[in-house]
Amino acid sequence: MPGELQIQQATQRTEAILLDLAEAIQDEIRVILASLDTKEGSLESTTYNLRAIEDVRRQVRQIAIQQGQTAIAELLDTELPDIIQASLAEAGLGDFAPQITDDVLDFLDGLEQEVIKSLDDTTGDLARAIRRGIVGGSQTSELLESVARSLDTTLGRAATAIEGGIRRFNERVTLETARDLGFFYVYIGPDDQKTRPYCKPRVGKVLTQEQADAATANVDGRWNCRHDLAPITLDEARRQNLEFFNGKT
Amino acid sequence: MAKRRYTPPTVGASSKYKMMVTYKSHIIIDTDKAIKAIGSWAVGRIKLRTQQGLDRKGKPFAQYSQGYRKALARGGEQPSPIDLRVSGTMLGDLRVTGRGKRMGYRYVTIGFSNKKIRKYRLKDNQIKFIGEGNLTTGALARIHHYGLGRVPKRAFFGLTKGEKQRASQHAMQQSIVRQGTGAPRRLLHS
Repeated sequence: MPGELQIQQATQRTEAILLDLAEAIQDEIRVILASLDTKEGSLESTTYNLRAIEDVRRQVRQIAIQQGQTAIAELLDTELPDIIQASLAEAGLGDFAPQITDDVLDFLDGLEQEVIKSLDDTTGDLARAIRRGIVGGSQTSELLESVARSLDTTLGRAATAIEGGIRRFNERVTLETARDLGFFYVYIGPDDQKTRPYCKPRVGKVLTQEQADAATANVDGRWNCRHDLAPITLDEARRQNLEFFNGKT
Repeated sequence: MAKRRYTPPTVGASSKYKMMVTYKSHIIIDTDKAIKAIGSWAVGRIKLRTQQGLDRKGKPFAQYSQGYRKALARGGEQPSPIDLRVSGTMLGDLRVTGRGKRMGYRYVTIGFSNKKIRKYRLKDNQIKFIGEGNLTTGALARIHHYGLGRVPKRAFFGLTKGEKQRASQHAMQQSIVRQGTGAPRRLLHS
């Protein structure tokens, strides 16, 4: 559906912003590394080099705040809400759009903070890696590789956050479509070693509307969660011999 | 005098409400609610049945290959039942995608948003995320449903006749606006 394609485009756009940001950071670090004192390609443990670590931290943070925050905030505050509203209206779900968009916007606010925090953590990691490189006399090329790896992790984390947001949006649509129509929800998904403490007591159990709402609202406990809520009627739950979740975790 | 065209007994100015009149009773239902209930019922049923490892006819899905079962077990994931779920992206994406009216009938559609699937590969004895692929949730669902190459057919999408009846029963129960004996005395205006 066109609306859903818009959401996908928005996701891709967010990812593109993050990618641009990672490239900008990488370029900045490349410039800093090129300016360091080296002897036969290896970094030297000089005062000038050690001071450069502080430069890395400062410069990267500046890029994250100036470029990243502005671009992400613009996307989240102005473009995404319109896209979400339009896509819901096209899907014939416009009548409960405000509830969903409020919820999604809350999530997107959190996402912005999450991305900025990831970048901030990365600046720390990068500074530490460069310090280690200088003290250990590493090659500049090795350091660049390590920088790229750190940024990859940051991007992966941000992509997971976006993926989680879209999945949560889908879950909300399922819940809102079934609201007030006599449905309960089965918490479906695998029950294995990877299952988190929040999901463990709920897997395979039937949840009430309130419990399902609470589960959808739990972002931290269900980070990158594989589980899902499926609407079920009381008759079907009895037919399938499913247990009800007793609220105890 | 011009012939008046017969119009079926729809109630009110909009098509929101539908009346069903039998010899002895009448029921007025909210069609919006009814189709929403049918859509949600179908989504829930398909998800739950797939989680139980059963296809749309209630038969167990074709087994995973031995290599894939081992990979799942090594990664700490359960190799059975076959639930078509590694990351949960495909089935998590199944939902009511739209509703409308065509040829005088209200309809509801369920499906996938055609979101891109993230790729996973066996690495260090674990299934690890390696990036975003070009395959969409809808395309992957189609591959599972009809089978392709080495992927066997696992027809999970759709409802049986009995399931359709149960969905309709639930939708009717939830969408009754008014019911009574005999013909309605007054039409309901929306």
